[in-house]
Amino acid sequence: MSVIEIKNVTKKYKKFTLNNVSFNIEEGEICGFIGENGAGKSTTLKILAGISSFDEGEVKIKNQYIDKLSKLEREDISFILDELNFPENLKLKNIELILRNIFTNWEKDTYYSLLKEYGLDVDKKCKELSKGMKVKLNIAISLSHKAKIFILDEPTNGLDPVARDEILEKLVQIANNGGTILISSHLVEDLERISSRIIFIHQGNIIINEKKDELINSYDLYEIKKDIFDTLDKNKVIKYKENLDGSISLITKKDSLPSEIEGKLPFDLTKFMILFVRGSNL
Amino acid sequence: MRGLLLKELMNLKTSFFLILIYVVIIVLLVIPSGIAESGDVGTTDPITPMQEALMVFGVAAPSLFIASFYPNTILNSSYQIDEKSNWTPFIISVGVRKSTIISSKAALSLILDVVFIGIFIIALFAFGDVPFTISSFIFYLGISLGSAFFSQALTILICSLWGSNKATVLSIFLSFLTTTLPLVVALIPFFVEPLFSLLWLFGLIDLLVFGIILAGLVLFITYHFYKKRDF
Repeated sequence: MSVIEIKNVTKKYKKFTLNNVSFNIEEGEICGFIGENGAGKSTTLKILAGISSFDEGEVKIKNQYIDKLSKLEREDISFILDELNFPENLKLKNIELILRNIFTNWEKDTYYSLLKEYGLDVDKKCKELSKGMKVKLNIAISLSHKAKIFILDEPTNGLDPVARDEILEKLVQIANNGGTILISSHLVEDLERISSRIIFIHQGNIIINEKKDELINSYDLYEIKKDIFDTLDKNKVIKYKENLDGSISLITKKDSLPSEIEGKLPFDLTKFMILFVRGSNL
Repeated sequence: MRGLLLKELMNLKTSFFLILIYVVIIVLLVIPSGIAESGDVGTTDPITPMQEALMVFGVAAPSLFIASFYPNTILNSSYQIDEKSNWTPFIISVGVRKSTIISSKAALSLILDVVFIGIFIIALFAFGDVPFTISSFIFYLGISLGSAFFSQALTILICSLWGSNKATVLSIFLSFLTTTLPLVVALIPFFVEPLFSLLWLFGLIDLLVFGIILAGLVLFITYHFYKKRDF
């Protein structure tokens, strides 16, 4: 069952348009949302979180239009940034006092036990938390109000590898327990690691929306010499880019080039994304 | 709304000493009106009751301005804290209605007004040497609340739609405007002797026109446009 359905959503700004964005996310999926800066990731996520309006299209959460969701249904959704959403002088125990009066499904015991599990001191003020602690706190809050849908906007930015690893593991645990996750990140290798679906947005348009395995099995990446590139059937090349050392990186459909062509690379989502954005068509 | 109001009150805790200073200033500003009333103003001409009342009133006006201005600064700083912490997008994402957010700010300003205007009124009758009568009580309470409610409604409008920075720039002007207009209305009986006995009525007019009708209109406009605002 599709938990998130976004259909032909358009939002127009003066100098940018989110254009006919459509995708579905199934229950239990971890969906990686990638795109360069200014591609429309945050705009899309804010629309899904109900923070931003849109000009055309439909957004449904669990088959209900987003503007018709009740407060209780909205509590199923958790929008997590890499920053905390609380005044910096508040202590973590004070946050609990506030949130128990906002959420209908608030579980105080879950909150405190998660804080203990994540190593967060309840007497600490928000401003004393490191970046990684803030993300963990946001996750603890989401689990404490029994959110089932997690929308994360670059939650691992600026984190050290150890903290990133911890956060990613927690997200996988959440998905294994039935949660649905849509996560955007510039750290494409993180998304490649945990996501089961990849959505790629470029200049306000969805370019790719496929299961990760299908994506890997649909495209090949090559890095070849220019003289070999010149001999190729150009109809088979989706995107290409000349590198500083004179070699050519390219994307082709899976197994479309002869097997004797050397320079085939293991599939790498980061390289794929860079080529797609910066590469040229023939 | 309880959770939102609790957050506002917790934020107030951090400005407790600042609030205390504001309270002292309000009281200090009221004291000269008591001196004026006692006749130590360097004149030997007999003072009419109307002149006396005008003197007291004129000296109490700065204190009234402060009692209206300081809640505005606290209200403004609550918006600044929200903006800095991205609090508003968070609570909207979990289903809190935008109208509830405005209502919580209005509730905060009500609490601040009860405190500051309450202190102003008590100080005025205790130290300003204004004779306590029902008429004078209603008069001063009406002007104070009318001015304060109107002022905070405008602050909520500007902060909600354009951000706290714009409100900071406009706050002194707003407080001046929202203190002056009700005062101008309230001064009418001082210049029209037959109306002097109806002083209390002009306090009520101020409360009704500025504190309820105009403030209510401003809040309604705020609700209407805030609903459409993106974050």
